[in-house]
Amino acid sequence: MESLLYFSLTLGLIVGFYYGFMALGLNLIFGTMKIVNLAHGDFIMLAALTTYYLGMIFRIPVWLMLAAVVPIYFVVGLALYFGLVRKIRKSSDSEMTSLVVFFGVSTAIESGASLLFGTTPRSIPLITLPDRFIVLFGFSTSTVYIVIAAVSIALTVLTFSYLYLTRYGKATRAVIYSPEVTSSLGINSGLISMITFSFSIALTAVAGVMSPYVFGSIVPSEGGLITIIAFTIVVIGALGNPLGATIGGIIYGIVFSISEQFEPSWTYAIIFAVMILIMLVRPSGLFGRVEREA
Amino acid sequence: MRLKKGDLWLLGTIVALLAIFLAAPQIYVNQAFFLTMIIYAILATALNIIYGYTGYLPFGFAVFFAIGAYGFGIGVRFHYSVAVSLLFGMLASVLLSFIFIPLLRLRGVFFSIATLGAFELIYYVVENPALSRYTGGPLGLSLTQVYNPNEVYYISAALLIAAVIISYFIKHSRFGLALRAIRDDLTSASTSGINVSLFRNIAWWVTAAIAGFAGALYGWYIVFFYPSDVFSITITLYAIVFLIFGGKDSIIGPLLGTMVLYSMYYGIGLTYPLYFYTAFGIMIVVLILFIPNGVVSLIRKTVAKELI
Repeated sequence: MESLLYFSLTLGLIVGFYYGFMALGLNLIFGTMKIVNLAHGDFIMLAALTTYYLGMIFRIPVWLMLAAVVPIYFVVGLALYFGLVRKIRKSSDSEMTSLVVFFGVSTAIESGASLLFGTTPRSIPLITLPDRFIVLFGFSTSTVYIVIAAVSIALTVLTFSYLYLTRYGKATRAVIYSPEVTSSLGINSGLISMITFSFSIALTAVAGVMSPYVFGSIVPSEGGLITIIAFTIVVIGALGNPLGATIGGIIYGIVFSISEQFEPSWTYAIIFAVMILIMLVRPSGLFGRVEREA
Repeated sequence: MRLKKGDLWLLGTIVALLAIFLAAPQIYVNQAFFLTMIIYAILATALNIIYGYTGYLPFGFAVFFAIGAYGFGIGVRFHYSVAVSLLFGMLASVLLSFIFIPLLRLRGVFFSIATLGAFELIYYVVENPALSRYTGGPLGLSLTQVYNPNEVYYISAALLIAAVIISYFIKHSRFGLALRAIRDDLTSASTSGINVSLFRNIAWWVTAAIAGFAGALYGWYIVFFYPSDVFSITITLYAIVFLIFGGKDSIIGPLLGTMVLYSMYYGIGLTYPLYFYTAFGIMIVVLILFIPNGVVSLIRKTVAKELI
C-alpha cells in the first residue's frame, strides 16, 4: 500500500513534467496576448494523428517527428496569427472574442480531423521510443515515460532559457508583465506576439507528438478534454506565468496518478475539485500575482 | 397605465414568438426542431442576464441545464409528479448556483474557466457508477413513463415568453442598470453604492433558475438521456454563439440569433451532415470577427432602442 503510494507519486511527478510542458504553449499565449487558445488540445490531437499516419505511411520515426513538427506548426501558428489573432486583438474585448473564435477553430479542426483521419482511436506502440521495463518501488513501468519526461524537461528548460536569457525572450516577459508600459518603451509588441504565438503552437505540437504515449490513444474528439486539462494545469499554477504551467503540471500529474491508483472512478471529479478550490483560495493560481477585484 | 414604446415592442415580440412557435409546427411538421430551438432561445436569454447584462461569461453554463434535467429525472425516478419534478429540476439548479457563488469573485477568463471546472466536476460526480442508484450513473436515466411531447412543447414556449419578460423587466429596471454598471466598471459601481455581490448573485440565480427549468423540460422531452447528452459543452457553446451572433445586452438579440443560426445549422446538418461541424466552426470564426456585437448592432440605430 505504502509502496503503491510512492510509486504513483513518482510516476505522477515524471508524467507531471510532460503535463506542464503540454500546457506551456497555452500559458505563454495567454500571458503575452490575453488570447485564450481554446483549440490548444486540438493542435495536440492533430500533431499526434499526423505522427501516427506519417509513421505508418512513410515510416518516419517518432524522434524525427518531434523535430519535424516544429517548423510545420510554426508556420501554422504564423497563419493563425495573421489570419485571426491580429483581428481578435483589435476587438473591444479580446479575451472573450478569442474564447469564441478559438472555439470555432477547435470545432473546425476536430470535425476536419474526423473527416480526414476517421474516428478510430489511434495509439503509437511504446516500442517506437526506447522501451525497457523498470521497477519503481516494486511496480514495473516503462522507460518511455522517463524519455518523455526528459524531452519535456529539456524543452521546458530551453523555453525558459529563451525567456530569461535572450533579448526577445526578455521582451516577451516584459510584455507579459505589462503590455502598456512595454509598448511605450519602444518594444515591438506585435513582433513579440507573433513569435510567441507561433513558437507556442510549435511547442504544443511537440507535446502532441508525445501525447499518445501519455493518454493511451488519441481520437479527434479528444481535443476538447485535452484543452480542459491544459487549462486546469495552468489555472492550478498561474494563468499567464510561464513557470506556473510546470508547477501546475507536476501537481496535476501527482493528483491524477494517486487518484487513478486509489479511486479511479473519482479521478476527474477530484482533479476539478482541486482546481476549483485552488481558484477560490488563490484566484490567480498558486504562483500568480494577486489581481483581485471586489 | 400608459404603455411606453418599449412595452409595445415587448408585446410585439411575444406575439411574434407565439405566432412563430404555434403556427410553424403546422407548416413544417418537425416538433423536435422547434422544441430544440425554443430551448436554445431560453438558454441564450438566460445567458444574456449573466453575460450580456452583468459581464460574466460562464463556460460551464450547461451545468445548470444538465442539473435541471437530472433534478427532473431523479424526481420522476422516485415517483414524484411531473410538476413537482420540474420544480426539483429548477431548485436543483438554483441550489447549485448558490454553491458556486464564490466563483463570481473571479473575473473575465478566470471565471469562465472556473465554471468550466465546476461543470466537469458535477459531470464526473453525476456519471459516477457509485451514485447509480440515484442518477443512473453512466447508463443515464429513462423516464419513458412520463413521455408527453406536446405538453412539453407548450410549456417550453410559455417558459420562453416568461424568460423574455423577465429579461425585459431586468433590463429596464434600476436592478438592470446596476448590473450593467457592474459589467462596465466594478470598482466604480461599488463606490456608487451598488451592492455588487448581492446584485450579481441575484442575476446568477435568475440565470440558473431559467436554465435549470429549460433543462428539466428538455429532459422531459427526450425522456431518455445519458449524462453526456445533457452535460455537453456544445450546449454552452451553442448558447454563447447564438447570443453573441444575435447581440448581447438586448432582448431580441438572443431570440434572433438562435432562430437564424439554429435554422442554418440545421439546414447544413440535413444537407451536408459530414461537413456540418466544420462549417459550424468556420462560421463562428467569421461571424465573431466581422460582426462582434451581433446582428442587432447593425439595426440598432434604425429601429427602436427599447427592445433591441
